[in-house]
Amino acid sequence: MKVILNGEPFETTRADSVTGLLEETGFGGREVAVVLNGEMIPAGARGAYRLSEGDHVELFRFVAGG
Amino acid sequence: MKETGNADDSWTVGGHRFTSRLLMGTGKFRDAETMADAIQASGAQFVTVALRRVGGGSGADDLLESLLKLRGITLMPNTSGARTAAEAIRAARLGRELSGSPFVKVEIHPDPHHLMPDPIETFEAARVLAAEGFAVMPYMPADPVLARRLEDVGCASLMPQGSAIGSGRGLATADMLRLIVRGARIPVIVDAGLRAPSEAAAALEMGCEAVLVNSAVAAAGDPAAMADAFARAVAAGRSAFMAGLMPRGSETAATSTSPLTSFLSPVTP
Amino acid sequence: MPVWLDLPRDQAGGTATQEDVERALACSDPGARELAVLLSPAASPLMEAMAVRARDLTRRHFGRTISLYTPLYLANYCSNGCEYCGFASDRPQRRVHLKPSEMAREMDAITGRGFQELLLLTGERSEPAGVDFLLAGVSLAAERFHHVGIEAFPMTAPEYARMAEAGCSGVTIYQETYDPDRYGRLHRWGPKKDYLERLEAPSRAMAAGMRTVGLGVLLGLSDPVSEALRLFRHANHLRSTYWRSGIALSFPRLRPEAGGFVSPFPVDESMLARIIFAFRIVMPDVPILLSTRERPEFRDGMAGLGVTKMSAGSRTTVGGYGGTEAVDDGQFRISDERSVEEFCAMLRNRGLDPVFKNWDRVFMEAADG
Repeated sequence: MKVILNGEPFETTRADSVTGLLEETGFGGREVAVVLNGEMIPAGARGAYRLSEGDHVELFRFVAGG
Repeated sequence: MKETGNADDSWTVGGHRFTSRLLMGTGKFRDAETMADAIQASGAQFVTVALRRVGGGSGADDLLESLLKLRGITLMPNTSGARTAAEAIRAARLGRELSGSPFVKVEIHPDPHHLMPDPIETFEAARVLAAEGFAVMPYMPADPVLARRLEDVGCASLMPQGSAIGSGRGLATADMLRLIVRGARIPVIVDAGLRAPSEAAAALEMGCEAVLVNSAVAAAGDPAAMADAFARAVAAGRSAFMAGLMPRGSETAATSTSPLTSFLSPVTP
Repeated sequence: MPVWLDLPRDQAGGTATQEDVERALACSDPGARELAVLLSPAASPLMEAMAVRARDLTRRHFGRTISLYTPLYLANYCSNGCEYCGFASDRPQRRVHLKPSEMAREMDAITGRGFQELLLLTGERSEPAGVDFLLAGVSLAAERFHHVGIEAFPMTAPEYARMAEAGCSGVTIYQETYDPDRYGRLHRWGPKKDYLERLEAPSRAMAAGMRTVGLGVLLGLSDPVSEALRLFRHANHLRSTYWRSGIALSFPRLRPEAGGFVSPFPVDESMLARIIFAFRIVMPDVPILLSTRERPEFRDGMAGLGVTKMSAGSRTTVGGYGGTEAVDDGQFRISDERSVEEFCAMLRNRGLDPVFKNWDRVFMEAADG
């Protein structure tokens, strides 16, 4: 399935949920905030969100600054 | 007048109590280790971090890990990069999701050259976020009326500029800062423009609750040593404020040639 | 008593030296500590230096102007037993109130003398002279004056809001004395006996959006220094809480009145002048009022030395400006009986400009519409 991850096309091999996508991209146990099609998905609710073809997914995390 | 009478001279913002009056930014350090060392040396309990999209799926350059190794640090996500209230509000919500704390340093600077805070967008974002329960700490121009307006909409503190961000011009806004401090019933934290520890001490001497520094430490020859110097200057400035400074003796009262008070009668009516 | 009114023990100023006074005079950001020092006995030999500083600060913040206003008593009914007041309920005064047509005639007589600012006064809230009566007076005044103030009885916030809506932009309410025990004894009966109810009235007026609130103590009732220090704390508390409203200060001294009350703490002119100088120094931007209670020579001397706003040609009777004939003895005796013209001529002679209109009602109407 093809999704747009952080603005770039990304071909998932097996993931069909937000949780699965995080695992597949190596962010499984990490501190990231997830935005799916413009909507923030709270950490506790990620398993319940299925991915569909063409979904926009953005991952955010803290960096140095400000 | 603010309550300052705690036995340990701690201060409170957003329901959290802090004993350190030096807040640290995390930008512009040469590497994560230098940053962690400097923050440790500063004694800061309150540290601001930015929020960015994860780059290309890579997990490298992870700031959070070196920060989390330090004990007793509260993270204050900032909205740097936001150019409008709407962008800052979105960043604040993401920041809360990640930090789990109510703090947000609202910073909105549409001008990429001078990073001057936009007072109108900042006010709007502060109004919305305070209503959502955030402990809003706005980075703002040193404008006393804006300070009142931000306090009125429920901000947890005020973070006026000492001078332009990164300029190292110190407390160029000192007169305005004094008016802000005099009027505020929430903590005033000088943010931006400091270069030398003496400037941080001066901010505390005038009654500011704390200061936030970043470039002054990150760009110093020895960041950890400079962080320590700032920590001691802040403590000294605070002690001086609590002790009560001697009035300045600059204005000398001229004596009048023709007495102004000769009309007064000693008789009580 | 609320915490913000407490006087810290170290700020009593009793042990101040002349050097402390000189430092306070030179201080760039004076506060409560400096006020205590300036009111201490050590400041007495430095009156001239205080006057110079007060004049310079007054000039810096207000220029060479004196704002003028005049009081109009609308009624003298009163259920209070203030021991010092000529309108107290046990005084043998003829009790009257102005009818709306009489109010209008009095106001026209006052505008005829050039005034654009009017202060409306009543006694305690009463059946013939309550909120609706005062509202009628405010509405009539708002048609004729640019600034209408009231000095009446404490009101609820909604009542103050109604006053503001009718065109009232200022509320004057003096605590008289900040000493709660003395307050209780001097206010022998009536609603005014409630110290806190009166103390909190300025907050309610400011919360209701009143543009200015006048505070003051009646000098002569209690130790003037503690009164001044508490007044300063009250003013600061209000200024930090209600930043959109302004405050004004007044230091009326007890005057002879019909009941013959004798002041337990007489304040002489020199002390009154010192209090005014000291407040100008610690609150350089706050209007300070001086009424016709004081004799002409004192008023002339104080104009511009801290004082920025003065009444002139005043009557303390109900009516009496020419629209109606006064039938009562007045609240107290005035000392300066000069006409407005004479008073303005004096100000001009001293290089001061009498100002009748400080701001324009038209801006308020524009904002509403």
